[in-house]
Amino acid sequence: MSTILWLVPLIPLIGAIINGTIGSKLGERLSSGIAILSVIGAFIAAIAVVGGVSSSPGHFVESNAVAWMSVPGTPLSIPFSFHVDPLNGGMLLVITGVGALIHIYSASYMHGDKGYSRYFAYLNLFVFFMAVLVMAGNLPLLFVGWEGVGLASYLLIGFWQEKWSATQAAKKAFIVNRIGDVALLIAMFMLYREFKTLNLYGDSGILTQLTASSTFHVETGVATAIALLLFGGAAGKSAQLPLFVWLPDAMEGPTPVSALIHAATMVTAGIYLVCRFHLLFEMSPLAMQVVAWTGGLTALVAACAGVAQWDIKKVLAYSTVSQLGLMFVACGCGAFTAAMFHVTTHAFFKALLFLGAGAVIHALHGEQDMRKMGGLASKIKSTHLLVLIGTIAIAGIPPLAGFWSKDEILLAAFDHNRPVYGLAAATSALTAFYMWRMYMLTFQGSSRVDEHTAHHLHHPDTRIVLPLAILGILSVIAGFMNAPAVGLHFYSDWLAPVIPSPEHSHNSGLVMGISVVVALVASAMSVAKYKSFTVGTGAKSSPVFAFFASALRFDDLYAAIVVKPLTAAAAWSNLSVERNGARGLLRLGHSSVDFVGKSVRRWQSGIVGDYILSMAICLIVIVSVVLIAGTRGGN
Amino acid sequence: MNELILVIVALPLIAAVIASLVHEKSAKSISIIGSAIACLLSILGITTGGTIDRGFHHVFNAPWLPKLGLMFSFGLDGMSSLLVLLTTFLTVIAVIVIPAPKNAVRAYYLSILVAGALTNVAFASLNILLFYIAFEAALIPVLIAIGMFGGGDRSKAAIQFFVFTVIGSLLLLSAIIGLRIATGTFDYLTLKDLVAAGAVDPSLLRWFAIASFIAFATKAAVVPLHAWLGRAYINTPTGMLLLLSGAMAKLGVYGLIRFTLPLGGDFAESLVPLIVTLGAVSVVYGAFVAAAQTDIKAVIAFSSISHMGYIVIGAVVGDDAARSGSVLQMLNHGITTGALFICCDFISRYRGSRQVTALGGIWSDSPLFSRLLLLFTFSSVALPLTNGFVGEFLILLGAFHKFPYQTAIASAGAIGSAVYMLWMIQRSIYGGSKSDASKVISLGVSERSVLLALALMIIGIGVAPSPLLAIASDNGHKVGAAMQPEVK
Repeated sequence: MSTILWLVPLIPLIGAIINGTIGSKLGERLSSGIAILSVIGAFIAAIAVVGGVSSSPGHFVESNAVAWMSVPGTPLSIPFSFHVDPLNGGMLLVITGVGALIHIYSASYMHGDKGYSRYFAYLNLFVFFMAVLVMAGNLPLLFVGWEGVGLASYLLIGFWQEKWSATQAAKKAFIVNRIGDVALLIAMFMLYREFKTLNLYGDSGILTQLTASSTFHVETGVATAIALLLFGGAAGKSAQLPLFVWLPDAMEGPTPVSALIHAATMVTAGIYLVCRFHLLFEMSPLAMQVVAWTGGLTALVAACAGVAQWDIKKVLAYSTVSQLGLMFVACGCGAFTAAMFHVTTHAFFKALLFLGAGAVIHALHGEQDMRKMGGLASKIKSTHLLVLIGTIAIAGIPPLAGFWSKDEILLAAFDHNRPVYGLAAATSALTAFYMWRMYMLTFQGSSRVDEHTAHHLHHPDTRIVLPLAILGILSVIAGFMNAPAVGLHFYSDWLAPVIPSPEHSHNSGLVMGISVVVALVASAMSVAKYKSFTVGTGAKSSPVFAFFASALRFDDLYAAIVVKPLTAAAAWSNLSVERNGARGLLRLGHSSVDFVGKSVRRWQSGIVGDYILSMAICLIVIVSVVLIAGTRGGN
Repeated sequence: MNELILVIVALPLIAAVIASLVHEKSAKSISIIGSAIACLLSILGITTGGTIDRGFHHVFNAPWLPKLGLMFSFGLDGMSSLLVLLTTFLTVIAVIVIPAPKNAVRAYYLSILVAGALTNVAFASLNILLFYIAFEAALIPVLIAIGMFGGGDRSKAAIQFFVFTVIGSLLLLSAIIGLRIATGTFDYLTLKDLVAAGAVDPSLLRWFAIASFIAFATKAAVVPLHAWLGRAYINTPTGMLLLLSGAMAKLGVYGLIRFTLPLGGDFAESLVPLIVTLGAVSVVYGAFVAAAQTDIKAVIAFSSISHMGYIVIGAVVGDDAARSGSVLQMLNHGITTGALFICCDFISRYRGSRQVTALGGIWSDSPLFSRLLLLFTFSSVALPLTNGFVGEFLILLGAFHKFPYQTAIASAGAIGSAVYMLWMIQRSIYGGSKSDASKVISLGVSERSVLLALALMIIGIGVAPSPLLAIASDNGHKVGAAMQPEVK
């Protein structure tokens, strides 16, 4: 079993190395073939690992430890070691499973791109780092995955590197994530100080120590500080306020990348981190409040922005930010099972929607503006049907997946944090509204596609339809993994060894009723409003619409309060301090050390002979001083 | 083999002398041969062997001016053997990949080989006066190289550089002489024992601590004593710059670990909070200045202030893990910054400019070169699984429990490095191709091999740093009692 654990990250790494070194000589078939097979291999290994988890009495499997960083003479020894239990086992299946589907889709989508093999190298590299992130047995190794997926994300957002906006977005993503990474790093240092270890599991591991709270005690203030720093890291990776601004820009990358990294997997790493440390978060009521409110506000802000987008990918990007916010609402209300459940269902339907959007964009030769779509339902039938399924799922209409997982979150918020429930419920209504808006604008109404494109639609091939179909099926049925209302609680039972199952709430009927009504009413309103959309009827001139479209102008705010002052400070330190400060210090040197000053003035000539002469004089001075001192001190 | 260090120092010097006598065409190959053998031999220096004395191996003693107390006494511990290896390695690659200026080939190689050899004398010396002489004398070839082959601002650069370092050095000299007067010896190991036994006047130790701190902090470019660095680095020819930034600046940190803390007594201990704070300030300040540059060589030059800040923190903080990380990071910084300066030199040579405004699109012309540059960039940004992460992580982890606030500030420097390095990459290698075919960066076999070797080292140290950490942790000095958390 220990060996199989290693296979999960290493097979994609080998794929990445092959494509990264000799990929350009392989041709498209071989290049994508290697990449796809490596992720399928990782998926099979992951299934074996999860099988091992369910059959093991302790509900976990561990790899052997291979030396990484250790300092002799100190107890510090950080190995490469992996640990899989139900919490990350489930994620691993999603990462490699959805990952494999998106690799297959990409093989067709990226056809003809001159960076074809480079693309697959990056994508495989991502799967490697993502597997390391969730499987890591200690925090520094988790950080390897954490920054590694950031690297892969940077490379893939900026994949079309000749495009300025793409490299700009890539840089922004990495830097904003780095802010969160520093918080995580400091959290790690604090954990090391408190727990004397960086291992997560095992006898002395941090999580084990946290479980055995009778023998271990952390002050609430310290717990709060660590929890908030961890959440700072999570907020960067999972695009929460105030660090969410990178994710909408990340849509500059190829669409399958958006589906895999910026919807299904990487962005959920923050939720994984919080759930992993749920015991620590539960020690601090303040941290829980911060998580719940941040999640709720992010969800609402992003949903507002989602309503006002014309770019089909931007709708989905803001939707992702918003859904991630809901997952943090769940965490902040203590419903960690619900958070992880939504991570899973969201991975299916959001990947489905992104890939569907990609198929639409592909069909329209790269068009992303929904004002130039419309009436596509009859033209690309299979894509239409599958996007419709995704839309119903995310809108929270029963019995599809999104309904069940979102309902759990709303219920937890209703029971534990009523104001945040308000935010989440409003978000749900807006979600249904903007998703139907997207669907209607794209597929229904009259066609606004230009003549030429309409006659030359790219019809998706099997490699595009097959992944969509599988994700469509999952989006329909995945909700039944955890549908307590109909007596199904497979998923919470599965997580129970790591996260205690939620108690039964007697508000469940009420909350579910409200949710269904809200989802249906919002959907109906949206369909009615956009049924006969024509360009010009949109509220694009209204200032509120523009304000929403810019996501409440957070980018402008940061430009004004962060970027500008820091740029000015950098320019100041360069001009005032570096250029002139050195001269000032030097003048001080001139006047205080006279003989140095004189020699310096002599050297203005810049003639090499002078340097040597001066150096010789100095050496003579030095040596004579030494000689004098030597004779005096030499007994 | 106790004469090992003599051979390591002498070989490049002999090569330099021969190279300056023969025809210009063979000067390069003779320099390569001499420095390459020295580099291979310095790998032997890592292994313990020869006479062993109080933690040092390959100990060698011979009189020079015995009446003065000036001895050729050498010895290596883990730290100094790694730094000697770094210096010889940088000498070799500097000679291989950076072409000499056409008008003065022999003088150019002579200056580099002499600078490397003198730096090694300083790293290996167990006689504090010998250390001092080498520490000073190593400046001469650097100043000559700046003066003869440097950039447009060279005379200013050389003067500022000289004045700043010489002020610190004279202070250091006075303190060394003071120690000699009080103890009658320049022998490092004897001095260390005497200080540890409390046999030296504390006021003298206090002066030694202050004076040596100023000298070493200037060398290591700790803010505000860094003011010489920008102009000096930008105007130093790249071959010499590899040694200056990669090896000689490390003499400052080495001096803090080797001399200031063990010989500075209690007062040196009391300076630690100040040094750590200045280190943290350097990290942040260096990042700010680097972010304001438009010349890629200047970006990398100022980034050194930031990186050296981390190394200084780890050196003095008094934690074994942090100090080992700091020693390893000296090696890492030499490799990574060296690689970046080499890339910068290629760009400048082929594109005719180092200004980001004139660059762009290098990836589409030279994909291999660009990929390697990207790797070096992420090593500089301290991405995990590169060498930079291991060093910085251990430094910060070890420093945090004693100086949480300074460490947190220094950690934030990680944001800064992403800002200026990724900006530089975006402007220089991304974007559409801007140049004609004549400006495409094409790497020859030797250039490609050197860059690939550097890349392998970066990944190798990032993935399996433990063997090097084992050597780095032998740094012969313990400051205070480090907190030793249990890790199983």
